[in-house]
Amino acid sequence: MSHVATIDLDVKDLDALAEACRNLGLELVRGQTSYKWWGQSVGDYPIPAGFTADDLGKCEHAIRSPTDGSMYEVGVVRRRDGRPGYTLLWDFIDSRLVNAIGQRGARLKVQYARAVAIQHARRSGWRVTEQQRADGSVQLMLSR
Amino acid sequence: MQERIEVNIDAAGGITVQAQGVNGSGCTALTQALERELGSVTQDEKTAEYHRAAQSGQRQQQKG
Repeated sequence: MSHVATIDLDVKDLDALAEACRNLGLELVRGQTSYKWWGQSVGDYPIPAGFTADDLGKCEHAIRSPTDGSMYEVGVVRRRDGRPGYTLLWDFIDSRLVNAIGQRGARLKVQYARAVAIQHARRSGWRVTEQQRADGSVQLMLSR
Repeated sequence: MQERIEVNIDAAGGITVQAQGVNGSGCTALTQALERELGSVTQDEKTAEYHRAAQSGQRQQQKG
């Protein structure tokens, strides 16, 4: 080992996001332009850079439960802070949604990063061994 | 020697990527594409192995 890179995750790949959703029992619906939420910002959480309260509830794609139609959803919208990729918007008042995607979306982020790394490995001819730990963390070993 | 990349994703979604089996700057090239696909690198820590390889390369250049 000769260097260790620490990475700030950017959600850029909708195919990987769709796979991450499937692994959590959710589905990515491309082209869904609104997502279910409380419907009114109560100012209890900062809105992402470049967005206003009027933007909440609107999206380009959405993540939903295929089995629970009343569960709140996640909006997938292009970032407006100059960085590439998408911002995920959701209302954390619905505990069913938080249970599904994790606090601060952690479970969804883990599954997205895992999907991106595995896709990269397959395209580049690497073999992958994987260890999913009880604490929710994942280790992937790519070799060739 | 077998090339290996170790990807660790912690429970909060934090990611580290490490190359193994490659000396010096070669490991950076090995992992760069994956790092770019995952997001942006916020910290890049060169390990002792990296610096040993770099010093070895400098000595060889001096001899030549």
